[in-house]
Amino acid sequence: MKITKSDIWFAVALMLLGIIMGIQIRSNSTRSQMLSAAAKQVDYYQNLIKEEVKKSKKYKREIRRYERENKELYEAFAYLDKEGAFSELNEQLKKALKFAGMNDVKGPGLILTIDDADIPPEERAGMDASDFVIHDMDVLRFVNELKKGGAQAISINDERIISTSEQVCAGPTVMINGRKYVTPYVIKCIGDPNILRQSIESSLVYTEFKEYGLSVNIEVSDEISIEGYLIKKNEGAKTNEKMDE
Amino acid sequence: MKRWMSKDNLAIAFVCFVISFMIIWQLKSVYSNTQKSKIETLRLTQLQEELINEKHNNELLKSRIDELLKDNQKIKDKKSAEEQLKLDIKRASMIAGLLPTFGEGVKIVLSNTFDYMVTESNLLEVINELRATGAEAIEVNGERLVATSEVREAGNRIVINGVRMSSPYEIKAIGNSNKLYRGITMLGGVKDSLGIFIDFSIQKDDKIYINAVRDDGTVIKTDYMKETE
Repeated sequence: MKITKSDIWFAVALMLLGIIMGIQIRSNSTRSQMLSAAAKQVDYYQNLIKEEVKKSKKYKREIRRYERENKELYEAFAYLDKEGAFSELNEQLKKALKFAGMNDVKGPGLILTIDDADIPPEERAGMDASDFVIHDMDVLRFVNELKKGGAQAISINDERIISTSEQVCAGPTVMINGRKYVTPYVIKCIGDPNILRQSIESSLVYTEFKEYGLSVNIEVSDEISIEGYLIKKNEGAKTNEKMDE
Repeated sequence: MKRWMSKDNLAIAFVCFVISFMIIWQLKSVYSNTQKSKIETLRLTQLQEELINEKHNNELLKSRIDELLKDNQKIKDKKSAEEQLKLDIKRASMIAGLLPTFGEGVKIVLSNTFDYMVTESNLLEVINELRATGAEAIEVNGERLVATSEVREAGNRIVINGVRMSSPYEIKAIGNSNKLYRGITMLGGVKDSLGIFIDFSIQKDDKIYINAVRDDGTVIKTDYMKETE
């Protein structure tokens, strides 16, 4: 049998085909190995984080219990010292805690829930994806609208907003009081429900959300419970000491 | 013509087609693999950061528990209970903004330019950045910011705590002055982005005095709130 030129071409072509298929298969298998190793690590970290979150819930419960205990002790002393200095001081403490946002309160108000837009990728093709997700500025503006409407207590995902509360972007999450929160953001507030609702509905940020299809939901309620802010060790003490100098 | 359409040539053409198809497939899959592993490493770093953050938070909570237990011992006898009560009042009043405050920090001045006015959002952004870098007390043109302080645009003025003010806006913040300064002036940060439109100046100061909030019932209102027992 005579080997023709085209036979050689054919052989070369087949060889190339073989090499490419080989590379492809190999790269796929290393990829899946890599994937599973990464997935394991992701799992590992997620579990550790879950444990820490569980611990933090336990710690928070303990803090609230001890804080209550201390308050009850103060109450007892104040009761024994009616009309005296102690009871006056105790009233001062109660007022300061209330003004600072450090005690649990309830009252009428509204619950504002905001979330990213739920628009299928093909409909927003060619548009900027960041127009459809919530940014720290949006949360900040909504909270400011509630303050304009006279909100007396505000929390975001049960994190109480106090005088020093930041709302900053941290990747896909928003950091509030040093803790990260993900969407949806549930903003609870206490105040006159009608004024609060008006303040939100007439705001620019609300109009923008409606325009871009981001989700905003307003729910009015007669009784909203908001937890107090848990202070950290030494917080609110530093500048005071300086003032005494 | 007939020579070209031979069986051999057709086979070669077919194989060439398959090879070019596979080359493209290969290139695309290599590209998507690197993309995917990039996303995974990013996800991992995020998780690691989250874990560090949670651990740090838990340490703070833990030390707060120890502190509360110590306080609890003090409250057992009346004399030391009164001392502790005063400390608690001071601390809560500080966070509430009920005490005038003195310390190191930064002073920022924002003012209107010929064709741009300082907006509500501009102020919110600066204040938020200061809070994020650990400001313990903030005031704008003499108005102490408390938990419920609003920033409202009204024509060419800004209203804070129900008080009308106009440009220039002087923001004073107490905290670690280096941290506050760096947070505001970081590359691509608030000063960079707002400084294009408005006059933006910042300086560190180790003697900043901040007023207490007006405690006459006009700023902090609590009539809708009841304490939960």
